[in-house]
Amino acid sequence: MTPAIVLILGGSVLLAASMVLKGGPQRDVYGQRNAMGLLSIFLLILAGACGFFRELPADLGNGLFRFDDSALASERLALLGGFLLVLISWSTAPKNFLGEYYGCLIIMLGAIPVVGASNDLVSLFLGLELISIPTYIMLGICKNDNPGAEATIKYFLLSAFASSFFLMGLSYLYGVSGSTNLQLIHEALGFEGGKLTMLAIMLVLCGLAFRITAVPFHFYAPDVFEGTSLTMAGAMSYLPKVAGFVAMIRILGPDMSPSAMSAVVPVLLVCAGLTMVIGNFMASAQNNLRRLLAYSSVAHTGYLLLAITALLRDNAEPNVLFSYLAAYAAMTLGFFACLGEIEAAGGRTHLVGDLSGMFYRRPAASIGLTVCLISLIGLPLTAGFWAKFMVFMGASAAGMTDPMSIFMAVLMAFNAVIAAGYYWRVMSKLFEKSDANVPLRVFRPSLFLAYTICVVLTLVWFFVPAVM
Amino acid sequence: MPNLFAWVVPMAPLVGCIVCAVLSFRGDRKIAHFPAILSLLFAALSSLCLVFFGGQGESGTTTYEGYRYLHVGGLTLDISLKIDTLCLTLLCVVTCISAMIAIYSKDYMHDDPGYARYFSVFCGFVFCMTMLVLSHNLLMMYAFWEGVGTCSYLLIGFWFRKPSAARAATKAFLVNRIADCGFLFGILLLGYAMGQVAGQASDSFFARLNFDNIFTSLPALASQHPDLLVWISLLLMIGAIGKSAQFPFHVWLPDAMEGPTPVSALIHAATMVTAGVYLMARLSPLMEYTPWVLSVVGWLGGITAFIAALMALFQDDLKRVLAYSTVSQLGYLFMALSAGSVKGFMALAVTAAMFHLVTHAFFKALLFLAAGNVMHAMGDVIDMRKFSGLKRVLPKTNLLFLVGAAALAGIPLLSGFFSKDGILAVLYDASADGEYGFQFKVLLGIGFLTAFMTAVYTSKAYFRTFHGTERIPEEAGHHAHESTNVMLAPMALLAVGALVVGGALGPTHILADYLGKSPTLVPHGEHHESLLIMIASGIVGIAGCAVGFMLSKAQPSTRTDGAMAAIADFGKNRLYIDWAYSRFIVLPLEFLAGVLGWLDTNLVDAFVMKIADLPRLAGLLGQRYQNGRVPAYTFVTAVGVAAVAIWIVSR
Repeated sequence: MTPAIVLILGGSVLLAASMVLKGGPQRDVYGQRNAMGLLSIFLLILAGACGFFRELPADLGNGLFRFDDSALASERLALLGGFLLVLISWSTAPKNFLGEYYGCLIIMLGAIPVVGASNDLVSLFLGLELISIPTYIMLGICKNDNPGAEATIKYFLLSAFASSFFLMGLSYLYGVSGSTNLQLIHEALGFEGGKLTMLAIMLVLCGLAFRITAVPFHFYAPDVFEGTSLTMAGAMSYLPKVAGFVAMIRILGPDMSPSAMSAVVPVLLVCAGLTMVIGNFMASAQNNLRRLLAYSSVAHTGYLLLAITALLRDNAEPNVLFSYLAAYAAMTLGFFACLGEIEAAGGRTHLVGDLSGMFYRRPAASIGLTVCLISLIGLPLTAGFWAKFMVFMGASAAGMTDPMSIFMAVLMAFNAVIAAGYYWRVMSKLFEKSDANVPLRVFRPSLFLAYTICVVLTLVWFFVPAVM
Repeated sequence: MPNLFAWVVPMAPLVGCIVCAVLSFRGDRKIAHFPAILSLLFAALSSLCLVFFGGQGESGTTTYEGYRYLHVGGLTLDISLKIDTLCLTLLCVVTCISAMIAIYSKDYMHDDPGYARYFSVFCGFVFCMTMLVLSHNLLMMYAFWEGVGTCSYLLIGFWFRKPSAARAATKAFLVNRIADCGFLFGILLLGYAMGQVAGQASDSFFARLNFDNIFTSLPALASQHPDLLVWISLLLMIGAIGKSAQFPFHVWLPDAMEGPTPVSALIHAATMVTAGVYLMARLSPLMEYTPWVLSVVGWLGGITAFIAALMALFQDDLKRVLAYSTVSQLGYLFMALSAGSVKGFMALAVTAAMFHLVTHAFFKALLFLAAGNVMHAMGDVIDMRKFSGLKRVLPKTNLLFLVGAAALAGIPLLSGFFSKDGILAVLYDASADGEYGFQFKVLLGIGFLTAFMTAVYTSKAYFRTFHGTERIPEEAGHHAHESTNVMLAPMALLAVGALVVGGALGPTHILADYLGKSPTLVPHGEHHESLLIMIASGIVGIAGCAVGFMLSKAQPSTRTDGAMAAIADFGKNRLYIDWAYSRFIVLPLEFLAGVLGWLDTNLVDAFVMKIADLPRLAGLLGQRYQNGRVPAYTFVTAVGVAAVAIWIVSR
């Protein structure tokens, strides 16, 4: 548990420090920026080191937390995303709220391993709320205008709405099984349970569907992405997704009975199909870059849901899911980092058309965007290819016994084509000739570093997918 | 330790390729030769170390585990390297010669705007070629087979603004693609057939195509599916003759001379074009079961060797003479391989072919680089009608070219003499066979005839270029000069190779013994040195040179009489093969493409484009619900949750 403790405590210290550090108008903003950034990097490295040198007991036990493979994977994903997000935030974090911003970000990152290791309904819920509450604060401080406020309120209301389903599901689970311990619940119910158990599971999944922006809980995504800062949009497209999917693995457990599967899998499959289709259809009608990214994030949730169903059937290791999330982190956060650099250099990134001719104005960032887009499409030479390929293989292998699953795999292929359409539109804008051809010369090393890492990871993972 | 060396060989050029690619984006491009040459020297050293430290291991073949590239469902891809003496032989040739030519290129390409790009693709080619040679799996070999094809395409079309270069690159790529189709189908068929053999069916498709697996299950395969095996080796052979520019796929190689000359030396003379021979040698256990296919190979090789030599006789372009000569010599290699169709001759055939491959790589690379010097000095003119008597202007090049030409012509005691003699001797031995004896008698005749023609065109080209009255084209300006030492030094090394490699490896049986360590090439019979053949081929070589010398003196106008003029016309126009291809294959295909293109735009696209609009239109509809109002959102959400709840309760 050490990495999570390091991060949450460290985040709290940063939060507390922000009260002291608040100075007059002459305060050294850049000094604080660098200090906060370095401190966050230090915390992440410390947490990573703690995780790396920790010795895990052979017996995982049955306490509040369990460190199995998916717990460790969620920790790694949180740290990966954390590094990238801190680098992206370095020059984009709101200057009046540096301490609060970094504190909340670090706490959010610390909460993901908490969710990932949870073996108890209470800790699971705590972990998820530990992600939600900092998100409210960060949304509020990131953009101090009307759309920002609207996004914050909207997210708060809808999140509370979803949490209510989640809590209701948890209370039913407790009521049916008489325990809050997940192992005990799994043993007690064996998921053979009747309709009430299934209903409870469904309600819990509904609550998680909000975190991962699955249909029909996806409505907030475009509004919030548009209303908040780029960095925050990047964080929101990645961190809650990791937490939500890890929680899903936790709740659904490693061994479900066939009867329970016959209830859960169709719902997840339909949800996956709808999420893919709606995400991609809506995205292809978008000219607003932020909203396009929001819908693209919805569409990727659909593919990930398909991966979850494949895992449930095959009882396989959840590697497919985590590989996809890692590839997704590199390509999405890399995309946001590139956009961030263009914005920091004085370019506009509001509409797709704003990127017109960007290659001639900002070549490095444009190449980064191109690689990330190729990965998002899922073409070879990028990690995105293997990510999609593995999900597709998993789904179609499971589909040998179930026509619905194979149908979803085919649907996923169609969706990849639709997605290629709108990603390609963005990419072609980058390279077209346009009237705006003033080079953007402001250089932000942190952002450059962030997307360079993303691009390198995206390319390297294609050749060594085993470490993805 | 050998493990490390084995991996350095391909990885060093890969690093060089990436570094040069990055450099090509920077303003300062003049340092790109440094990482390239360094990485290639590393690769060359490592491959020599592998030879000296016995990288092939105790059993004669070792597989160096790499890493598991992919494991999804039933698909497992392991990247490993398989090393035996056969592959080490070619590996040394590839890495050493590429290092030499990279050094040569430093000055040859010095003021080219694509300097870094050149070295990047150059290293990329060496990476692909070494991986091709080291592949432990047929499918992996195919991937790098395509990789070398791509690099060749990029280098032929290096000066892509020149229409002829772009056309030549496309031609080379397309002709290779046609042959590669055969290769790919052969691989797929082989994988399918392996799946039918007991014990292999459980493996994944990729693992079935490991060379070791193929070799172990060959006897079972041959007894269960003999017909299938013939098809497989026939298809694989098509891939091999395509890459090695054998008739009827030979048309791409002469045009490939549009690329920079060092590239012609490396890719289109010394290394890539020998990949086909290597494929046949690597799969020799498979080929042994299908002697019929090997005899087809022999006929094709014989035809190619002869017609290419004929075409070389009548070319005025120095590089094209060398290109046709390469095609002709590759035909020799395939003739040698075909001797494997006689029982127990496989190891001898492969050894003879590999021997000539090695020596040919040295002297042909040398000749091309010398031609490059001429081109460099003559202001990119390479037409022998425009210059002559260059021995005073280019004294050192003259000497180096002479060494290469003498080796190619088969002057006794030089490299080419021994290796050509080796092939002729194998053919002679094989002609005693009952079943295929007649074929090898004919091939032996073609071999001698071609050897004679080779000597004729080589000496003719040499005397035309370097002797006679001194003429220098206008394009050269006033500064026609000898090349720099950076260019001459690697050529001198190659010249030493052209002089002594044959004598050092051939008569001493070093190469034969070395290749014999490979489990697939253990020699069965005793090879007889034939003094008769040796003397005959020596006489043929010297006589050919004399005739070539006389021809170079003859005025073109003396050759106007009937039969000779017809042959000359035939040879000049490449036997009208290119013409026939473009008339009878390309033209109908273009017509068909036109028809299909019209159908595509007016029928298919008209329909498909409408479908492509659907997602956008659906999205626009969906935007009505994305109205920004929280109550609307929660309503849809609640309906969704309710639907799920009802479904759960009611099932």
